[in-house]
Amino acid sequence: MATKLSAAVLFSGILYLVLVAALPAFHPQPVSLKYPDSWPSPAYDFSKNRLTKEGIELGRQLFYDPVLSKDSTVSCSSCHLSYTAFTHVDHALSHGIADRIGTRNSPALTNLAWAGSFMWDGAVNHLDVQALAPISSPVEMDETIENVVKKLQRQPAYTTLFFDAFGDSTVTGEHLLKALSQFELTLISANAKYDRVMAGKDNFTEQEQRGYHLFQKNCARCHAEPFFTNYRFENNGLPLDTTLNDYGRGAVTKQPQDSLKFKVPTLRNIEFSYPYMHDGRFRNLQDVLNHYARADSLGIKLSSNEKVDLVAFLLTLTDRDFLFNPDFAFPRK
Amino acid sequence: MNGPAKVLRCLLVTCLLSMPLLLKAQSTAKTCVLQVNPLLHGKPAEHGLLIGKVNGDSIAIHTFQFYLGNFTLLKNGKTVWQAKNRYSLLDINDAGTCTITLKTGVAFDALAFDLGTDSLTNVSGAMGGDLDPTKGMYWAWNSGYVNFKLEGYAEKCPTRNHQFEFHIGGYMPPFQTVQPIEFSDLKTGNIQVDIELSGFFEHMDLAKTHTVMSPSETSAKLAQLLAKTFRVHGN
Ligand code: HEC
Ligand code: HEC
Repeated sequence: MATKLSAAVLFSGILYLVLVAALPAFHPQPVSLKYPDSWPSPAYDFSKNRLTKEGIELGRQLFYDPVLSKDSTVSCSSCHLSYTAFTHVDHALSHGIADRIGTRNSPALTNLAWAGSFMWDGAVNHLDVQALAPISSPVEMDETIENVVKKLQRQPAYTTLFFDAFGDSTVTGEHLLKALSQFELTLISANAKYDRVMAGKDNFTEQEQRGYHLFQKNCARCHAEPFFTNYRFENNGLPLDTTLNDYGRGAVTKQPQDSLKFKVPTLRNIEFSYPYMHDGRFRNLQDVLNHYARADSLGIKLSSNEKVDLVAFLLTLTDRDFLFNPDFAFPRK
Repeated sequence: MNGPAKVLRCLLVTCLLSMPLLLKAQSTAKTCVLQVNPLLHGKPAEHGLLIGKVNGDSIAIHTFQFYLGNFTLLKNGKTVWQAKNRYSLLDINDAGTCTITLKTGVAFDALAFDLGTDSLTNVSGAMGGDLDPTKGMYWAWNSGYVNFKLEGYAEKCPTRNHQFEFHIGGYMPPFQTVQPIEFSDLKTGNIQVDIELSGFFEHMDLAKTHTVMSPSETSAKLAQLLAKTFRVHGN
């Protein structure tokens, strides 16, 4: 009787050891963001979402996966294409999207780790929760986060990826959102000609140099270096489009002084992120400069030569390493 | 039986024997058990519905979900214990959620907590547990938690199917909705908290106020109204 009992105990002990040994190992590889030493530290709190190779990879899979939409036709990359600085190229108003978002142009996704608010009106207060907006938008992805989690839980490939990234093969909304953030946080554009000139590794042409001076004088107070945005809400004099009636920040804060203010967008990779402004009303940079010259906007009068110089400078913000970074592109499995 | 097997056996037996001891050591710790009772005229929900008359009108509540958090215990006015980063989502359709057990291990005579989520929680990104956005208590378009959802039917509501729908939240001034609640002079750790919802509906006109879905002056007022209905009984 005693031997039987001890044999049973021994057997269950061995079973336990075998099970422990057979459990998959969780060893995520830490990653630290690479950015120029001269930049300030990011606004994003990495202590709550440590970057790892596995987390970033999971986020990238999710970013490119139409499983996030109801009928599996739309992924984040449908409107944020890597080769165009993650904007919806050539679409004034991102299509397939209802209501409010249907009234807006999809912004470039760059250097998000330094942003303190998201969307043209700052209605989203943290990168992690941004994805809830497109996922639940009725005509865009038309999904619920609850259902996305259920769909992912049924895919063994995903439960493995979630385990590798977070040590838990149960898919949760928190982990889904944090993984998307991890991928988006790596979208750093810091190697344009402008950056190389600043680092002393390259030189502006004379024309670009003249354009840089014009930029610093007329534009930098809002489009502040090195991000080319001060991350604040400003009114740059665009008249209200009465077919859209988008009051921007004012609709969020309900304060009259915020009416018609929009988040200052970055100008990095501006060559590729046309059409311009929150509603994509301008097709090229010439139109933008003509707008700024109007007396009822900012009244920034430039001669035609100065306009050419300023545009030459703006083109030094194109970062081909960013646009064609294979780590950002569609993941080949 | 040979040497190594004997050692292994001893080890296993010790482990197995000590398991209940470990568990027991935990359960003898001093705990605070909060039993929350959503009521309408003293009656709890039946089949997921709170039914009754308020100001002469019949109402039926089918959804009542709310966050409680930042539980703090006090003794002689001093904080003696705090549950950090903990929020519980309570739901009349899930009775288990209405009992909250706090393992404290300290003596206390007062309990403080928040009805709703504080502003730090609202700006800290994605969270897990009861705060996971899959719980349906997060606004997608204008970041922030819904601190409580209260939905149902009332004859008086001029809406489709006479529905009322309150999704109350908001953390930005001037429309903050989190409500601090405190109960003092507690004699036991078993605390019965009644939420008498008639107190909420008596002070409003459902013919006029029936749909509140985003932060506003009205949502801030409704949050205060709900907080006033929390009472401790028999302690
Ligand atoms: C149908 C097009 C579309 C889809 C699909 C889409 N977005 Fe967007 N995205 C937009 C538009 C338009 C905006 C600007 C919205 C606004 O300002 O209200 C935006 C804004 C953003 C922003 C804010 C950027 C900033 O600087 O403020 C981020 C981040 C973002 N999207 C990420 C995502 C992710 C992640 C997904 C997938 C879950 C996604 N988007 C899916 C069109 C889309
Ligand atoms: C008062 C602040 C301010 C100043 C000064 C300013 N901008 Fe802007 N800029 C903005 C804001 C705000 C927007 C977004 C407006 C909107 O979409 O409603 C914007 C948008 C843009 C865009 C479109 C970007 C995109 O991705 O759609 C370009 C290009 C641009 N500005 C270039 C310039 C240039 C060049 C100058 C100097 C000649 C300049 N801005 C001066 C605030 C400013």
